[in-house]
Amino acid sequence: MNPTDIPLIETRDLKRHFTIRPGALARLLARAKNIVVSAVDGVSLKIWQGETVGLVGESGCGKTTLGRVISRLDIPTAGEIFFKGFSLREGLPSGGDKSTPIERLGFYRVAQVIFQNPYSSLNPRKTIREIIATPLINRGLKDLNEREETIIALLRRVGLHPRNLDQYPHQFSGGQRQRIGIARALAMQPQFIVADEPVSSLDVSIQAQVINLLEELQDEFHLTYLFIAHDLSLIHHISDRVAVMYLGRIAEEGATDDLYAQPLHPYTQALLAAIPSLDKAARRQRIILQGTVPSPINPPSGCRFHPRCFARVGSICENETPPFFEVGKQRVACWKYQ
Amino acid sequence: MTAHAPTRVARGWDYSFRIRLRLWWRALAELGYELWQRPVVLLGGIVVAAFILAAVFAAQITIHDPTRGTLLLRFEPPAWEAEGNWKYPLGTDDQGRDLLTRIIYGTRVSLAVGLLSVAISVIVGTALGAFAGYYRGWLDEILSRFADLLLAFPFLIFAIGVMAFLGPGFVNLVMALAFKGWVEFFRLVRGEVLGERTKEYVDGARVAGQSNLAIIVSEILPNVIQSVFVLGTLRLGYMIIMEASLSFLGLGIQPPTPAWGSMVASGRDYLLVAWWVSTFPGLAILLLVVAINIFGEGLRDILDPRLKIE
Amino acid sequence: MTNTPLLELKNLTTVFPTRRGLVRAVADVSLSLAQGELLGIVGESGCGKSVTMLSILRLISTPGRIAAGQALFQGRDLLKLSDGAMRQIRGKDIAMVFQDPLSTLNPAFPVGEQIRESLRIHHIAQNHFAREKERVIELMSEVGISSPTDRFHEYPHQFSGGMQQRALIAIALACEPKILLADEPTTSLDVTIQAQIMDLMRRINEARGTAIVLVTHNLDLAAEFCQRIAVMYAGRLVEIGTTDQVIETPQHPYTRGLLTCIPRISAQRTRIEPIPGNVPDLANVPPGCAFAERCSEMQPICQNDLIPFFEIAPGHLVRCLRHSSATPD
Repeated sequence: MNPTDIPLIETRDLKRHFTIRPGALARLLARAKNIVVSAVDGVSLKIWQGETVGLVGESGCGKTTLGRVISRLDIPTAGEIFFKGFSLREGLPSGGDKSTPIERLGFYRVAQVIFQNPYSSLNPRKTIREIIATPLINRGLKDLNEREETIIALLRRVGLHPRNLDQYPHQFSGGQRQRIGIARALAMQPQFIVADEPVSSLDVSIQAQVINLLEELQDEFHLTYLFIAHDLSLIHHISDRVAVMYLGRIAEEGATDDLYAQPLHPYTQALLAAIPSLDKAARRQRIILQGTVPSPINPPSGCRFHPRCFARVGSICENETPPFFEVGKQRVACWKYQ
Repeated sequence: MTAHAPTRVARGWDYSFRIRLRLWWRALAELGYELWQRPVVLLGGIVVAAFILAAVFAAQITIHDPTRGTLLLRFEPPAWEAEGNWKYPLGTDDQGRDLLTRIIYGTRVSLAVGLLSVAISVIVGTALGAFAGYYRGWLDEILSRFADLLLAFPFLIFAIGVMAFLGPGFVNLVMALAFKGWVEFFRLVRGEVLGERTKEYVDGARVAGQSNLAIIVSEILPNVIQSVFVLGTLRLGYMIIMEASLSFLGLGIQPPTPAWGSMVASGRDYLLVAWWVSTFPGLAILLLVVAINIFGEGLRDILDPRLKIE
Repeated sequence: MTNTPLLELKNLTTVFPTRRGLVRAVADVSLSLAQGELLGIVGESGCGKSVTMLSILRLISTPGRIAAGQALFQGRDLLKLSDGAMRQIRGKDIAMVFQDPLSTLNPAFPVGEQIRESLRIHHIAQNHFAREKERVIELMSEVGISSPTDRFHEYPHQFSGGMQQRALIAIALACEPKILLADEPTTSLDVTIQAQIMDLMRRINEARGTAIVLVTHNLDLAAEFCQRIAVMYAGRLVEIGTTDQVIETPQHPYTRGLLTCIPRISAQRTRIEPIPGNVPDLANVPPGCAFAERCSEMQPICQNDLIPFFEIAPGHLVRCLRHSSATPD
């Protein structure tokens, strides 16, 4: 097979269910049963080398859990993740050399994470030097001078001055801390980065600095991004392809320009219509979605969006889970397109 | 630093060590400043330091023998009483031994038992608590139940039982206190680690390739160690009271080795004729424990970032 | 617009002493709000927009204090009222909706009771329980809480985020205030819920003529909702004007920066232009224009003295020296 036919990352029917176990007493007296929260419920997604896939959805839709499962910070309940066609369940091929760091670091040698909260994602008791040195040491950069030079180069690349090396995270602003987090991710020389809401906790004037930095780094190091956000404008700006998630499932997926120009799923339409706009004509013309996102503990049957949907086609929406229908280049899980 | 200063490039291990040292020094200076702002805490610290110095240099600062006395000189009253003698500032006990000398030597026992039992408790409790809190599962379940079980016994009754079983003696005393003392540290560290392990920096460390052991030891523990340090200071006072209680009951340090608890006990029968024999060792316990507690609470206020207002 | 504004702030200044020095969270803010007007105050976190709201209601906690200025409500200076008189105005004439609904509602009391509380405090229904409850249920259905009779007895944690925010709006509306101060009312909510809440607030404004001050960091949201927008930076207002003036002909470099630094959905994707640098430390705001060191059009003179407002069009005020040819306000 041609290597370009193999996606860099592929998930097949990925599920992550959390089980809440009531205590022994509640079980005995109130006959409490295990509660299953299906945070991610059957997600199949392909991410190709060099592209940015935007994963968008409202809070509680499972986008963060999906990101954690794909970055192996969480273990899937079912389904599989493939890196360049190799199942992560079997581990990455190490080339037979057991002493290489790949064997120990596994997936993190090629995949890294940029976290949402720059205030909690850096250890408050470590200096910047130590934080960035950790991945370098773990990927086998033993020579001290070389390591020092790499740290300084990384710091410079993300726009920080090396004089800050011996300071602690609390001495930096939110934007600067996020830059440090980015430097730590780059230190591993990854191919794939999961960025979970990397700018949502930053001030608006700082967000653009970090987004531009991420875009520059993508070109420079040929990175592939899975960019998770709730901000549709931001996703539009940064992504090549977009997947819209609703209650643990992907509702619609397609190339960014197609999807934003012609949203197919009623949920995508409502989401796009809800964004406040500077455009006078767009003001006041909107679909105001009724109700709120249902709980993932007892998700609605059939299409999970049907209780809030304004374009139901019939009882099939309530009874059967819609598969993906191909409309043009988009994939949409809605019975309207049967 | 001027804008054109060349960037310092590390020259080996000693460079980062020097930086570490500088950072520690800065932290220490800041602690000193904070102490200076709180005179009562500072006073507590000075009293504790004085006791420690007295214990270390007991042989140098006393002129009498702590264990052998002159029976002719028994029950000499303190110096300021009518029949007092400045040779024996706090008077003598039932065997004619200088009380002040014995109190100074008794500091050794109290501090040694207290520090050792707290140290063992800290090491055992922190290690077990960190592993239980990080890994959860059956290890946590067993250790937590065992800790709950130990907590169900009052400390003194538990210690009396253990001492009765092991027999008196310095090592046994330390073991008996540490055997229950670790539970407090276990619960503290376990709780803190439970809170820390879900923070994003732990995920960050994992993504940076850190092993579980490295995450516990070099990422999480440095964030927990301050509270352990504070609890340690506070528990030190409690351990000293426990040691004194056991010695008072005759289960701790055996005569003639001077221990405050047994000194209080030996003077009990003569309270009407020689009040000082019991009173001064008792006051020594009081003074040291109160000083430790004030100092410990002050340290907590200074070190606990939750109380700090930006 | 009527001649006497409903609420008028004159040179309002609120300070917080800190270890690093005196923080002027709100510095010399003058602003007016007309009857039934929708006004937006836009700025980044720490720019003083929330503190301005709290200052109006005199909810600044010590050691912070209102150091200078006036807050005239229907001609009366709120800052000079007795505490008792202020309590009468707070909640009754001027109500506030906060950013985080869950921490604003008391978790120990049913939501209905908490709405009834504000009726009771201001003796709206003569403290007659049945009449109060009836009014609460009316209010709950008005703000879009479905089956209010059942939900009267439910606790805050049984409400979703959007419903909690609706309950807070019901509390705020209970006494039919003339002004509603909404401090980032939708920031913790999803976009679809945000649209619901903003729609609700607009309907309240239309039906009751309640003037609303929307405090937000989202310029787009303010543009869509408000008639006038005031932009704040480092404790000071930097630009005030009608929504069209501010959005279509922004004159302050900071306003323009805010407009170009967020990505927007449009056919062609353009590189977003970040505002360089960071927000200044409020304890140590540079002299002159606080934005000068981040400004691409900065001239040495910008950092000398405080920049006055220049009126470049009727009602369009800008604190920027590029307009010094216009008449200072």
